[in-house]
Amino acid sequence: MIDIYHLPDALPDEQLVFSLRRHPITISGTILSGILLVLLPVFGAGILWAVHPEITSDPVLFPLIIMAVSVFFLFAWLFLFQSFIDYYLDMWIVTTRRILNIEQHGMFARTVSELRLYRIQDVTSTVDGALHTFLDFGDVEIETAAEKTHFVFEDIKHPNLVSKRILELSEQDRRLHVVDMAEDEGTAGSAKKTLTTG
Amino acid sequence: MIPLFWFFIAWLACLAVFGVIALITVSIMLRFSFSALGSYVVTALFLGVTAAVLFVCGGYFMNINWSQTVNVVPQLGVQLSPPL
Repeated sequence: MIDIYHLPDALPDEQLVFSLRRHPITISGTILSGILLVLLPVFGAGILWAVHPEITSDPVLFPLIIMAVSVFFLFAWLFLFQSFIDYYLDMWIVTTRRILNIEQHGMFARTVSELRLYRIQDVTSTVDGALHTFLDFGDVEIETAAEKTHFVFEDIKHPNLVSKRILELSEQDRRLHVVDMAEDEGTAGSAKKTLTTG
Repeated sequence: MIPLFWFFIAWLACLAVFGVIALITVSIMLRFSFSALGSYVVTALFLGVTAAVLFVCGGYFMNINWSQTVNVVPQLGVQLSPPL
Protein backbone atom coordinates (compact mmCIF):
# COMPACT_ATOMS: atom_id res chain seq x y z
CA MET A 1 0.00 0.00 0.00
CA ILE A 2 1.06 3.53 -0.63
CA ASP A 3 1.15 6.08 2.20
CA ILE A 4 -0.57 9.14 0.81
CA TYR A 5 1.26 11.43 3.22
CA HIS A 6 4.65 10.04 2.18
CA LEU A 7 4.51 9.65 -1.57
CA PRO A 8 7.36 7.86 -3.33
CA ASP A 9 9.93 10.20 -4.92
CA ALA A 10 8.57 13.14 -2.96
CA LEU A 11 9.89 16.58 -3.82
CA PRO A 12 11.44 18.82 -1.17
CA ASP A 13 8.89 20.61 1.02
CA GLU A 14 6.06 18.73 -0.66
CA GLN A 15 2.82 18.45 1.31
CA LEU A 16 -0.50 16.86 0.46
CA VAL A 17 -3.33 19.28 -0.33
CA PHE A 18 -6.06 17.17 -1.95
CA SER A 19 -6.66 13.51 -2.61
CA LEU A 20 -9.62 13.34 -4.96
CA ARG A 21 -11.79 10.62 -6.41
CA ARG A 22 -14.86 10.72 -8.57
CA HIS A 23 -18.08 11.42 -6.71
CA PRO A 24 -19.56 8.18 -5.29
CA ILE A 25 -22.76 8.80 -7.24
CA THR A 26 -20.85 7.87 -10.41
CA ILE A 27 -20.38 4.33 -9.22
CA SER A 28 -23.80 3.96 -7.58
CA GLY A 29 -25.32 2.38 -10.69
CA THR A 30 -22.60 -0.24 -10.93
CA ILE A 31 -22.77 -0.99 -7.21
CA LEU A 32 -26.55 -1.29 -7.31
CA SER A 33 -26.36 -3.66 -10.28
CA GLY A 34 -23.72 -5.69 -8.48
CA ILE A 35 -25.82 -5.91 -5.32
CA LEU A 36 -28.86 -7.05 -7.30
CA LEU A 37 -26.72 -9.66 -9.02
CA VAL A 38 -25.41 -10.87 -5.68
CA LEU A 39 -28.91 -11.04 -4.18
CA LEU A 40 -30.39 -12.77 -7.23
CA PRO A 41 -29.66 -16.28 -5.86
CA VAL A 42 -31.31 -15.32 -2.58
CA PHE A 43 -34.49 -14.22 -4.37
CA GLY A 44 -34.35 -17.30 -6.57
CA ALA A 45 -33.99 -19.54 -3.55
CA GLY A 46 -36.92 -17.85 -1.87
CA ILE A 47 -39.16 -18.31 -4.90
CA LEU A 48 -38.06 -21.93 -5.32
CA TRP A 49 -38.75 -22.67 -1.67
CA ALA A 50 -42.16 -21.02 -1.91
CA VAL A 51 -43.13 -23.06 -4.99
CA HIS A 52 -41.42 -26.35 -4.04
CA PRO A 53 -40.76 -26.41 -0.28
CA GLU A 54 -39.94 -30.15 -0.44
CA ILE A 55 -36.79 -29.40 -2.44
CA THR A 56 -34.78 -28.54 0.66
CA SER A 57 -35.06 -32.14 1.84
CA ASP A 58 -34.01 -33.65 -1.51
CA PRO A 59 -30.67 -35.41 -0.91
CA VAL A 60 -29.39 -34.91 -4.47
CA LEU A 61 -31.06 -31.88 -6.02
CA PHE A 62 -30.59 -29.52 -3.11
CA PRO A 63 -26.78 -29.99 -2.93
CA LEU A 64 -26.63 -29.34 -6.67
CA ILE A 65 -28.60 -26.14 -6.20
CA ILE A 66 -26.34 -25.09 -3.32
CA MET A 67 -23.24 -25.68 -5.45
CA ALA A 68 -24.60 -23.71 -8.40
CA VAL A 69 -25.87 -20.86 -6.24
CA SER A 70 -22.64 -20.57 -4.24
CA VAL A 71 -20.50 -20.40 -7.40
CA PHE A 72 -22.81 -17.78 -8.91
CA PHE A 73 -22.79 -15.74 -5.71
CA LEU A 74 -19.00 -15.84 -5.32
CA PHE A 75 -18.32 -14.75 -8.90
CA ALA A 76 -20.94 -11.98 -8.62
CA TRP A 77 -19.32 -10.87 -5.37
CA LEU A 78 -15.90 -10.85 -7.07
CA PHE A 79 -17.32 -8.80 -9.96
CA LEU A 80 -18.68 -6.28 -7.46
CA PHE A 81 -15.30 -6.06 -5.74
CA GLN A 82 -13.48 -5.58 -9.05
CA SER A 83 -15.93 -2.83 -10.07
CA PHE A 84 -15.26 -1.06 -6.81
CA ILE A 85 -11.49 -1.38 -7.24
CA ASP A 86 -11.71 0.13 -10.72
CA TYR A 87 -13.33 3.19 -9.12
CA TYR A 88 -11.31 3.25 -5.91
CA LEU A 89 -7.86 3.10 -7.50
CA ASP A 90 -8.56 6.09 -9.77
CA MET A 91 -7.27 9.10 -7.93
CA TRP A 92 -6.01 12.63 -8.34
CA ILE A 93 -3.48 13.82 -5.81
CA VAL A 94 -2.69 17.51 -5.48
CA THR A 95 0.33 18.49 -3.44
CA THR A 96 2.07 21.81 -2.94
CA ARG A 97 4.47 20.93 -5.79
CA ARG A 98 2.69 18.70 -8.30
CA ILE A 99 -0.44 16.90 -9.43
CA LEU A 100 -0.57 13.12 -9.77
CA ASN A 101 -3.19 11.54 -12.01
CA ILE A 102 -3.57 7.84 -11.23
CA GLU A 103 -5.91 5.84 -13.45
CA GLN A 104 -6.62 2.15 -13.13
CA HIS A 105 -7.81 0.51 -16.36
CA GLY A 106 -9.19 -2.91 -15.47
CA MET A 107 -6.95 -5.16 -13.40
CA PHE A 108 -3.66 -5.08 -15.23
CA ALA A 109 -3.33 -1.59 -16.68
CA ARG A 110 -2.48 1.54 -14.74
CA THR A 111 -1.49 5.02 -15.83
CA VAL A 112 0.26 7.52 -13.59
CA SER A 113 0.78 11.04 -14.90
CA GLU A 114 2.61 13.76 -13.05
CA LEU A 115 2.41 17.49 -13.58
CA ARG A 116 4.47 20.18 -11.89
CA LEU A 117 2.28 22.99 -10.66
CA TYR A 118 4.32 25.78 -12.23
CA ARG A 119 3.52 24.35 -15.68
CA ILE A 120 -0.19 24.99 -15.26
CA GLN A 121 -1.45 27.64 -17.62
CA ASP A 122 -5.21 27.52 -17.18
CA VAL A 123 -7.74 25.77 -14.94
CA THR A 124 -11.43 25.44 -15.82
CA SER A 125 -14.19 23.95 -13.69
CA THR A 126 -17.42 22.67 -15.21
CA VAL A 127 -20.65 21.71 -13.46
CA ASP A 128 -23.12 20.51 -16.07
CA GLY A 129 -26.50 18.96 -15.30
CA ALA A 130 -29.15 19.00 -12.62
CA LEU A 131 -27.68 16.15 -10.58
CA HIS A 132 -24.21 17.68 -10.83
CA THR A 133 -25.58 21.04 -9.66
CA PHE A 134 -27.51 19.65 -6.70
CA LEU A 135 -24.65 17.43 -5.54
CA ASP A 136 -21.94 19.94 -6.53
CA PHE A 137 -19.68 17.74 -8.55
CA GLY A 138 -18.15 18.18 -11.99
CA ASP A 139 -14.96 18.35 -14.03
CA VAL A 140 -11.79 20.36 -13.57
CA GLU A 141 -9.73 20.76 -16.72
CA ILE A 142 -6.10 21.82 -16.48
CA GLU A 143 -4.21 23.20 -19.45
CA THR A 144 -0.47 22.84 -19.14
CA ALA A 145 2.76 23.70 -20.85
CA ALA A 146 3.96 20.13 -20.38
CA GLU A 147 4.16 17.30 -22.90
CA LYS A 148 0.73 16.14 -21.84
CA THR A 149 -1.16 19.36 -22.33
CA HIS A 150 -4.47 18.43 -20.81
CA PHE A 151 -5.38 16.99 -17.40
CA VAL A 152 -8.99 16.35 -16.47
CA PHE A 153 -10.35 15.63 -13.01
CA GLU A 154 -13.63 13.92 -13.77
CA ASP A 155 -16.75 14.16 -11.62
CA ILE A 156 -15.01 15.38 -8.48
CA LYS A 157 -16.67 17.08 -5.53
CA HIS A 158 -16.60 20.88 -5.26
CA PRO A 159 -14.86 21.51 -8.60
CA ASN A 160 -14.99 25.30 -8.25
CA LEU A 161 -13.15 25.22 -4.94
CA VAL A 162 -10.63 22.72 -6.27
CA SER A 163 -9.87 24.75 -9.41
CA LYS A 164 -9.46 27.93 -7.38
CA ARG A 165 -7.08 26.21 -4.97
CA ILE A 166 -5.05 24.66 -7.81
CA LEU A 167 -4.59 28.10 -9.36
CA GLU A 168 -3.40 29.47 -6.03
CA LEU A 169 -0.98 26.59 -5.61
CA SER A 170 0.27 27.04 -9.15
CA GLU A 171 1.01 30.72 -8.54
CA GLN A 172 2.71 29.88 -5.29
CA ASP A 173 4.83 27.18 -6.92
CA ARG A 174 5.87 29.53 -9.70
CA ARG A 175 7.01 32.16 -7.16
CA LEU A 176 8.86 29.72 -4.92
CA HIS A 177 10.53 27.54 -7.53
CA VAL A 178 11.80 29.94 -10.16
CA VAL A 179 15.04 27.91 -10.39
CA ASP A 180 13.17 24.78 -11.52
CA MET A 181 11.39 26.80 -14.19
CA ALA A 182 14.65 28.37 -15.35
CA GLU A 183 16.30 24.96 -15.57
CA ASP A 184 13.53 23.70 -17.81
CA GLU A 185 13.73 26.77 -20.01
CA GLY A 186 17.50 26.56 -20.06
CA THR A 187 17.42 22.94 -21.20
CA ALA A 188 14.95 23.75 -23.96
CA GLY A 189 17.06 26.72 -25.03
CA SER A 190 20.30 24.71 -25.30
CA ALA A 191 18.55 21.94 -27.28
CA LYS A 192 17.29 24.51 -29.76
CA LYS A 193 20.78 25.98 -30.01
CA THR A 194 22.29 22.55 -30.80
CA LEU A 195 19.77 22.02 -33.60
CA THR A 196 20.56 25.45 -35.06
CA THR A 197 24.36 25.06 -35.06
CA GLY A 198 24.45 21.29 -35.78
CA MET B 1 -25.97 -41.70 -14.27
CA ILE B 2 -23.43 -39.24 -12.89
CA PRO B 3 -22.11 -39.59 -9.35
CA LEU B 4 -22.83 -36.58 -7.21
CA PHE B 5 -19.17 -36.57 -6.25
CA TRP B 6 -18.23 -35.46 -9.78
CA PHE B 7 -20.35 -32.35 -9.37
CA PHE B 8 -18.49 -31.71 -6.13
CA ILE B 9 -15.19 -31.94 -8.02
CA ALA B 10 -16.56 -29.51 -10.62
CA TRP B 11 -17.58 -27.20 -7.79
CA LEU B 12 -14.06 -27.36 -6.34
CA ALA B 13 -12.63 -26.59 -9.79
CA CYS B 14 -14.84 -23.49 -10.02
CA LEU B 15 -13.70 -22.50 -6.53
CA ALA B 16 -10.07 -22.90 -7.62
CA VAL B 17 -10.64 -20.52 -10.54
CA PHE B 18 -12.42 -18.09 -8.25
CA GLY B 19 -9.57 -18.37 -5.74
CA VAL B 20 -6.91 -17.49 -8.31
CA ILE B 21 -8.84 -14.49 -9.63
CA ALA B 22 -9.70 -13.32 -6.11
CA LEU B 23 -6.07 -13.63 -5.02
CA ILE B 24 -4.91 -11.52 -7.96
CA THR B 25 -7.64 -8.95 -7.31
CA VAL B 26 -6.86 -8.65 -3.60
CA SER B 27 -3.13 -8.38 -4.29
CA ILE B 28 -3.75 -5.56 -6.77
CA MET B 29 -5.97 -3.82 -4.24
CA LEU B 30 -3.38 -4.12 -1.48
CA ARG B 31 -0.49 -3.10 -3.71
CA PHE B 32 -1.93 -0.06 -5.44
CA SER B 33 -4.42 1.34 -2.97
CA PHE B 34 -3.53 3.99 -0.44
CA SER B 35 -3.07 3.17 3.19
CA ALA B 36 -6.48 4.23 4.46
CA LEU B 37 -9.25 2.77 6.58
CA GLY B 38 -11.51 2.37 3.55
CA SER B 39 -9.00 0.12 1.79
CA TYR B 40 -8.72 -2.19 4.78
CA VAL B 41 -12.48 -2.26 5.42
CA VAL B 42 -13.41 -3.09 1.84
CA THR B 43 -10.77 -5.80 1.51
CA ALA B 44 -11.74 -7.31 4.86
CA LEU B 45 -15.41 -7.23 3.86
CA PHE B 46 -14.71 -9.03 0.60
CA LEU B 47 -12.58 -11.70 2.26
CA GLY B 48 -14.97 -12.06 5.19
CA VAL B 49 -18.08 -12.62 3.08
CA THR B 50 -16.18 -15.04 0.84
CA ALA B 51 -14.92 -16.99 3.84
CA ALA B 52 -18.43 -17.06 5.37
CA VAL B 53 -19.98 -18.45 2.18
CA LEU B 54 -17.29 -21.11 1.86
CA PHE B 55 -17.63 -22.01 5.53
CA VAL B 56 -21.42 -22.41 5.31
CA CYS B 57 -21.20 -24.45 2.11
CA GLY B 58 -18.43 -26.58 3.51
CA GLY B 59 -20.40 -27.24 6.67
CA TYR B 60 -23.44 -28.30 4.67
CA PHE B 61 -21.46 -30.52 2.30
CA MET B 62 -19.87 -32.40 5.23
CA ASN B 63 -23.25 -34.11 5.78
CA ILE B 64 -23.92 -35.03 2.16
CA ASN B 65 -23.82 -38.60 0.90
CA TRP B 66 -21.61 -38.18 -2.16
CA SER B 67 -22.13 -41.75 -3.37
CA GLN B 68 -25.57 -40.83 -4.67
CA THR B 69 -26.03 -40.47 -8.42
CA VAL B 70 -27.82 -38.05 -10.69
CA ASN B 71 -29.69 -39.51 -13.66
CA VAL B 72 -29.85 -36.74 -16.24
CA VAL B 73 -32.44 -37.51 -18.94
CA PRO B 74 -32.87 -34.47 -21.23
CA GLN B 75 -36.39 -35.20 -22.43
CA LEU B 76 -37.71 -35.90 -18.95
CA GLY B 77 -35.58 -33.49 -16.95
CA VAL B 78 -33.44 -34.46 -13.98
CA GLN B 79 -34.36 -37.72 -12.30
CA LEU B 80 -33.10 -38.83 -8.95
CA SER B 81 -31.72 -42.29 -8.29
CA PRO B 82 -31.22 -43.72 -4.86
CA PRO B 83 -27.80 -45.27 -4.19
CA LEU B 84 -27.47 -48.92 -5.16
